[in-house]
Amino acid sequence: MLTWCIFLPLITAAILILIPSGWKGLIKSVSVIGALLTFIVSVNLAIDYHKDAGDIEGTDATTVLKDAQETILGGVDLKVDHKGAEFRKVAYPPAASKSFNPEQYAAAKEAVRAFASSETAADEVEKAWKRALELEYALHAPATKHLRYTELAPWISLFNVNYFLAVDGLSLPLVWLTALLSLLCLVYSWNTEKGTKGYYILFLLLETGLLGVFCALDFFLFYVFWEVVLLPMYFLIGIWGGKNRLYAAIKFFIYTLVGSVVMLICMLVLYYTSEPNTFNLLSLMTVVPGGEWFSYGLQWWLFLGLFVGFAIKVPVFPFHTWLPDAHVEAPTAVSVMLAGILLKMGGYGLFRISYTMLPDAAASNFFIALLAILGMINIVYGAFCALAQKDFKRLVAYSSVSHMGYVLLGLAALTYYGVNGAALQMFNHGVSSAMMFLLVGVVYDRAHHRDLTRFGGLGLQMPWYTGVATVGFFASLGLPGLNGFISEAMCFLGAWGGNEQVSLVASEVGTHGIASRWIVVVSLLGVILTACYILWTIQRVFLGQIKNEEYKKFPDLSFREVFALAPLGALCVILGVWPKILIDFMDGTLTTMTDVVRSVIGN
Amino acid sequence: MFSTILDPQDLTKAALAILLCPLAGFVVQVFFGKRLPRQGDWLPTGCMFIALSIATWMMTVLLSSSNGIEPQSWLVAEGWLSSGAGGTDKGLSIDFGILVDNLTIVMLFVVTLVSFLVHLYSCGYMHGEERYNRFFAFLGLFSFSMLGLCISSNLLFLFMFWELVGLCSYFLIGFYFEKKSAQNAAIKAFMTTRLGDVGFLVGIMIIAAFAGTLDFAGIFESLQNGTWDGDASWWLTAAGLGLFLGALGKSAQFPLHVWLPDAMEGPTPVSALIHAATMVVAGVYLVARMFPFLAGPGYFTGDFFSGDVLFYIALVGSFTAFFAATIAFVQTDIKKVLAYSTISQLGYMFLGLGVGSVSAGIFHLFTHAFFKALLFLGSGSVIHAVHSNEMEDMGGLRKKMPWTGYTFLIGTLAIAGLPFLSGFHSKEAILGNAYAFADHMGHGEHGSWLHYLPFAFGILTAGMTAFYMFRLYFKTFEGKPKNQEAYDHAHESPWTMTVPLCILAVLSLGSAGVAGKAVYWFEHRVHSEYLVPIAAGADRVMDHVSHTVHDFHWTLSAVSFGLFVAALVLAYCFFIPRGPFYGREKGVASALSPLYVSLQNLWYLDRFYTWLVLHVLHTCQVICGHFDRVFVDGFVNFWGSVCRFFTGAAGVLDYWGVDGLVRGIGNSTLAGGRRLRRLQTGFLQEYVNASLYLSGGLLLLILVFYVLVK
Repeated sequence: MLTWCIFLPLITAAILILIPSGWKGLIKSVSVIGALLTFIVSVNLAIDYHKDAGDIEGTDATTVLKDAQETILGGVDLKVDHKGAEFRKVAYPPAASKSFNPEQYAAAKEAVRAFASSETAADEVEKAWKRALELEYALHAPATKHLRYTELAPWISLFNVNYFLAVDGLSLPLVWLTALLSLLCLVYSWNTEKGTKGYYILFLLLETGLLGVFCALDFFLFYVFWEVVLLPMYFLIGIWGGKNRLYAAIKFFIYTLVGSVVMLICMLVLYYTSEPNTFNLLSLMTVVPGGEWFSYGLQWWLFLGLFVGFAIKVPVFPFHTWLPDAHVEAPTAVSVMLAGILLKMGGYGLFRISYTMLPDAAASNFFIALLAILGMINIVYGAFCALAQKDFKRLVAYSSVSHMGYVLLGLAALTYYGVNGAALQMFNHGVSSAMMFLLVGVVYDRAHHRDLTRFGGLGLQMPWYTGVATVGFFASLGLPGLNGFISEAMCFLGAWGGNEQVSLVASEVGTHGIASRWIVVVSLLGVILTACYILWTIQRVFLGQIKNEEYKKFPDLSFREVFALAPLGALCVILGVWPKILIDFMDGTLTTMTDVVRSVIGN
Repeated sequence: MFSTILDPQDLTKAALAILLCPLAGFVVQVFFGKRLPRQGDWLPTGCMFIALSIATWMMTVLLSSSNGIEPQSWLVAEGWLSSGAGGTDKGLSIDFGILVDNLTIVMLFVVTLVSFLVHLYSCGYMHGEERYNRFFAFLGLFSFSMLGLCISSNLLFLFMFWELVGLCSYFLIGFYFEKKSAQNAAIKAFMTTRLGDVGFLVGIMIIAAFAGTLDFAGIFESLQNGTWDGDASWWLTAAGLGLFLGALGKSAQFPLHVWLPDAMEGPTPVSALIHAATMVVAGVYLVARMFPFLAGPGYFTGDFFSGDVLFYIALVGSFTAFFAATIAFVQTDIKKVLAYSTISQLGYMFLGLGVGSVSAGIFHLFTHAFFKALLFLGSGSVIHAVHSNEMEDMGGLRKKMPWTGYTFLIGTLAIAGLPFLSGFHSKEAILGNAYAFADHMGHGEHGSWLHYLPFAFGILTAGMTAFYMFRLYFKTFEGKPKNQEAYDHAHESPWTMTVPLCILAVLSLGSAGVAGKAVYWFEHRVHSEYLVPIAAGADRVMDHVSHTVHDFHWTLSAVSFGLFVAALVLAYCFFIPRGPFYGREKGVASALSPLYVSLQNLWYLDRFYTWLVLHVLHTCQVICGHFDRVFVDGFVNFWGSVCRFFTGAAGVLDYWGVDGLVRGIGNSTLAGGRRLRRLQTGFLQEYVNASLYLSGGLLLLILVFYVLVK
């Protein structure tokens, strides 16, 4: 199912290649149908998610494990029955995984080889054993409790790279959001006339990459998808962008490529440090067979490296300046994907990789302080920068910087509320920022400029647009009843912490007491500043007399625009009134994750 | 179905029904309002009428009970927002629940009644306005939010509705959004209250951290079982002050009062509903609801004043009452006078709560809602007639619009404190308690003159209120018309506007008959024990205090009546043509010029804030914007250029160096080839010569290498 979900857009893109580029209507229709099918599959995933509750038993991964075990047994001289039991005893020492140290691992390896019937079989057996061992541990990891739709197949067996897909409560909402936003964006882009075919193909390729990033559970596969995202984005900005598009595209490309390279290095270090060498995220994040957790020093450096990689994507101050440029130059639909999904890749990476794989580093004072303080800077500084902007789109871009700060703050707290709030904030920001960019696009299509000082009075001219815009803007402002409030409040409550579960931001930074909570209090200023720039923008765009005679000719929302905006507006309201819908998906996964990471505190 | 909703044993269902009525009205109105006959104004009005009927029924249930009803709660959505399912620690869970107790019922009654009357009034007042349908939609949304605020059993939900009423206030203040002043006023209101809300949020976070729940019952329980004792008492005070900061913003108390006068840019019915009777009292409601928490753990032993928060509330409230009254002296805009008067009266309510009497504070909220709504709607009627807000365009209007004039007079008398009118009683209750508080605390261990301050401000304000209200009334309705043209065109308003006036006038006046009873009634129902009973047999401070109140009752009444008469006489002298000082107020003003100028400038506070916002915020944003562009992005671009330089250099090197070498070799090969071609001449002798040279050269090379290697 996940494979279908990921590759449907790619298949659609392949079909598009066959269509002559002149048949624009057909190209658009086919790609919208492709995106629609993807969306239907993703909805199906969400519907069946709870139904399929249970654990990973019975999925592909377990089958692969059984195969590996049979290979071992096939190569082992098991003439005597009791040897099977004995083999298990030797090959899989005490299930308390953390106590499996290198000496034991080496001993087990020797024992396994000794079981083999011949010297040639010994290599086979050892290889299969390593694979089985790795999977055994991965499948019993706490993090796998919530994984669904697992798909596992060997890909590059020389490097033990698997085609390993699964979703859990963290990734499923993002997968769904990706499918939804892609669909809406493709419809919204209906008026693209320049290079339609290329545009749609690249867009669908982008969707495949994004879906892949959220589904991949093999670091190598993850990295491949991560890079797949980069390329179409570069062309989409560079070809269909605004005046300064080349500068923005190259800046985006190089900036994120730097992040990718750092990530690649970390990935290779992880691969070679793990024993047996593996890219399997589950094995990496639970325990490394043949060793305990990665040593603290290694974790520290890896965390730093991965953080830089992800921080560029989030983007975290001071790596954020590619974002406004990329947004301003990108066409509307691409901006939507950029803000709605691409930024989430960074956050997702922090959750999925940094935190779960390197818990000792994540729970260290240094990184808690770093993340929390950077989160605070993002919130406040981003809001100030947004206030300073005169370009509508730039303002929205900086508001993204500000809003992603909440993700860092909530995540650094490592409380259930904080982590859930951070994940929810990613989704909510995906909805509301997508909406904001679409709203900017609507007005840009009509006025052909984005200068806030030249707008005014659109509320009189375009009442429906104003109504929808109000929902989007106030969702972004964090108004209760709309989605933004829920996640922001959760991040704050989580970062402040409680007696039952102490927020790491509050306890680790500075001394316990007032001094430790200054970060949260300063971040709260963001609430005021956000209101400032949102209300000021509303005033400058919608209120007052119509500033320019030309504006009196502006039509209200077209069907195409309503189609793109209405579902997002509805989501804002639904998630604001009944956040449980989404939290029910997330909570289990994130609670487990929080517990796993917190379990290292005090060690 | 009716029997389920109207079940006297379980009022929570009825409360939910009340909540849903305006919501239904809003939803229909916002999507279909324009297409309905009369733009659908009857729909939200009808919805409010149903809500009012249910609320009235609830009120009768309350009235018929001997000592009020037991608090009833209903968890509508348990775990509305929760996380940590299956985790090792317990996570916070936020539930949506409905809580109905005496306080709730009183609030529901006030809100639905005033809201219904304002709906009705708006049918006349807003007639023919642009966006008429949207106005009613917003009114419906506001009523929904305000009612939700009153029935929530959870602090976070209270906060959410609290923000929503703020949003409606923003929309309605900025209803005439073509006007710059209306836009600015709307933003100012939203931002100022949001500043307070940050305090509110901090309070919520502290409470969530310590109590582990945000349900009112749970919060009080945590207070009782000692969660907040010891070191945590510091946090208790912090949380209390945080909540109070929220109340300051919403209820326009000093120093966050600046938005309310500006909010008068909204249509007058909005001012009556939101900025006088209901939304601005949300802060008072919050303090009343959280009273045991603000009083601290001492509450359970009957000692309300063990914590500091209540005293701060009393101080701020009384000072605001006084402060706003001074500004009301010099305002010439009829709505502005009423706005400052509202701030002042809200201060009274906080004073009442701060000195430990929830019943007095809420009683004043109750009476104030009626007479202030009456005054606002009356002023709206006048504005509707003369098309101006300035008192300079009015005068003598009572003859032209008798219904408005007489009802306005009743409102004026009620707020000014004519004995036996509603305002008199509620004000007496507050002042009596303030005196008793001063008496009790001032003589206590840590007593100081500060404890007398609330009472002093309170009694001073009583006289001032009477004066500026009579000034307003006389200048508007009595004397000679100052603007003849406006006067000639003035006419009485339609029935949709006068009927609400009359109903409110009856409520302001009518309580005269039952006023004494009403005080008693409030004391016995809307007291601080609505949620958490005080331990039986505790040595209750309040008992001592209430004795003092009763002993002092007559003296206080005499003093305030004296002040009332003095203010009336003074106002008469200045503002009635027959008066001895008629027309001389300018002279007094210039005699007191520094004071007068500061008053006119609103004590310079607004200017200071404007300066602060414009300069500090502006500077910060400019600095951040530049920093981002010049430094952060500049740094990136710098590295970009460095890289480009190096790539350029590498390009040059490549072209002239590496590639040059290749080309050089190529060229030289070519050239060499050309030369070599000449070698192949075919003459044997040349070949021999050449081979000799070549072998000689080779030998030489080998020799050189040999030497070098050696």
